[in-house]
Amino acid sequence: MKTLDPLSVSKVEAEKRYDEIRKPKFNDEYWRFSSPEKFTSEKPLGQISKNKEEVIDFETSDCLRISFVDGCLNMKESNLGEFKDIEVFSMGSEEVKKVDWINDLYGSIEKESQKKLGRGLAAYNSAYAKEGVFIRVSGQLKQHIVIDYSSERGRSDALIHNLLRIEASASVTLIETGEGASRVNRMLECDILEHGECNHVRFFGANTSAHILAQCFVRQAFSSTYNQFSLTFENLFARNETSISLEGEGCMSSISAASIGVEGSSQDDTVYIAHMMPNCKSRQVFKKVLRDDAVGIFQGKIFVDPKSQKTDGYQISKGLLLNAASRFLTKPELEIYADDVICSHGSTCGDIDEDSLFYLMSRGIPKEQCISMLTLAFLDEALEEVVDDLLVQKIRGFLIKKLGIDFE
Amino acid sequence: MLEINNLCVELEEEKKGILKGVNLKVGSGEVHAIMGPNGSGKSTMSYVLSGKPGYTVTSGSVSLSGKSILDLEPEERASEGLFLAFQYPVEIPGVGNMNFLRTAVNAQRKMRNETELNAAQFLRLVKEKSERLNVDMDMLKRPVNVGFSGGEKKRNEILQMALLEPKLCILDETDSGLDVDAMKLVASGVNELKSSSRSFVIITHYQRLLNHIIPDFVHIMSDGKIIKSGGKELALEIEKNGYSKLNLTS
Repeated sequence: MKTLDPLSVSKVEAEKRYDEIRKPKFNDEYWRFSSPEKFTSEKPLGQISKNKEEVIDFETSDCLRISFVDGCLNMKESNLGEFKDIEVFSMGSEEVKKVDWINDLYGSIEKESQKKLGRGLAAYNSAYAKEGVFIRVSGQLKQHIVIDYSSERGRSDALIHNLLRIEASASVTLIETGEGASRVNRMLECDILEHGECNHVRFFGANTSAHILAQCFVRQAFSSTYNQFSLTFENLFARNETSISLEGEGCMSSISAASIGVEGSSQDDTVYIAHMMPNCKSRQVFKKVLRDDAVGIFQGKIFVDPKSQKTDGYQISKGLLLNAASRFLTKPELEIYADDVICSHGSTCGDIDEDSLFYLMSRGIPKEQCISMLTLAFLDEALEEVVDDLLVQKIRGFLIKKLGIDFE
Repeated sequence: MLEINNLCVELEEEKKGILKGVNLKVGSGEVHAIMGPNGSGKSTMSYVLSGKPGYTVTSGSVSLSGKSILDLEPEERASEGLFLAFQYPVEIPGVGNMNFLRTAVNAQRKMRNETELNAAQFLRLVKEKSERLNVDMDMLKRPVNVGFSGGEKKRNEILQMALLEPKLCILDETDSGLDVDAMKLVASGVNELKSSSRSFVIITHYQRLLNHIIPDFVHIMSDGKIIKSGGKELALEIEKNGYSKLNLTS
């Protein structure tokens, strides 16, 4: 009888989870505001539009670069050379079967999160993904890891499962950029050990008609930090599904996103933060600009376990409606079982502030330009959550250009 | 410079009359102060002149240098040389003050078919104006008005005025929320900008600002009309006796 290697065992277990949970249906509560059909249909429904001008150049000369094209790891375009304090494996390599941390981590955070909320597409990813990179960081990395997702075909399917393990007191900035296929189901399981830090920036491409499901499962140990920022710009459909489990005391977690939606588009952020230990902080800041008939979705939950006293949870979601046909659908939730906590949530939507618009116009600036400037100003609150100033500059520069603001 | 004839204005939504026949002539190089009790229509007048939405002009006319401005958009009025220094300048996070100022200067130059300033030219200009107005260059690197103190916000307004070089400057309660030193600083900035081709309309509640910016004329506004005009001594009279001692019915 053939013996399965540990990674294959994890995948078989994930298959069983998937059989139990199955794919989400249109009436599932956590797909309340957008249809999962794009990800459950036989073939991809979206199409990719390639435009080299629509990228943010996150790469630096010393960065570690990983490239996926149409869902497949492209070693030619990747730079996995000799870097201190980091090891990288591709899922397809033979050696991963012998690496304990990979076999322990693969599917484990996803599996744990299923106890709180069944996520069929996550189990599906763990079960059937054949592509992915497994990264372990053991020191304080100065250079960034940049994962670039691109596509050379108009219609393709990508199923990618990445792992990131950050050892005690290690730190890294991970940047994921691009859409990568016309239909994407990609996942990151991120395990941050004591005092570890991960700054995670994601840009889902711009002006693309791809369907993107980006799932992120994070487990944090004592006094660790995780900061995530996502940007979507005029994408047809992007769903950011993030689940964070704060499992050590004194953790800090910040999730933020800025998005601009246009005609027919839907930008969905579904976030679940579980405070499982005392003295942890979490922040959620979501800003969505909605033009035409765009739909912005935010479902954010803060769960506080009975033993998580002194929890500090903050959540804000704001929609800027630039057209009467646009919609901002939100469902902020708090589920608190401890009595000594601070948890706040707020959600607002409205159109451009008339006083601000008048102020700018009264200085001689044409109305369209003023609206672009105020759009940038609106998104800035989310952008301010990014800890790396250089990345903030790059993202802000991209927005200034795309919004047609006449700054040189 | 500015000529307002029988200007009547109501709030667009409430159809409530606010200005009920304002008449005012401001000549080139003149400084006019407009005083009056709360709710008399002073700020509304400044907004209507600048083109703020939400008001309906039911009758009357306004011309700037002989050109009617009531049908112009706010940005067109600005390019014609009208500037409103706000009582509460708006904060714009994410937009650097320097970028904002240059965008404004070049937008107006473009509208007037003048050559736009490049980055180096603008930097020279802004440095020169900032030094003259005692504005810290650090203020220019920060987002527009974000985290500015009350005094900094008002000084930023005066800096904008200096860069945009308007013909007519309307200062809407520029002294509100300022301590004595900040007020003196702002007033000296305004005095720096006085010229024979630039006029000022200064809206204020208190005479104290007019100790530092000496007006040529003082007008008292009440219930949507200018009911009394005089020289700078009228402001002193108001300070001494208040509005209640004046006969406020025209």
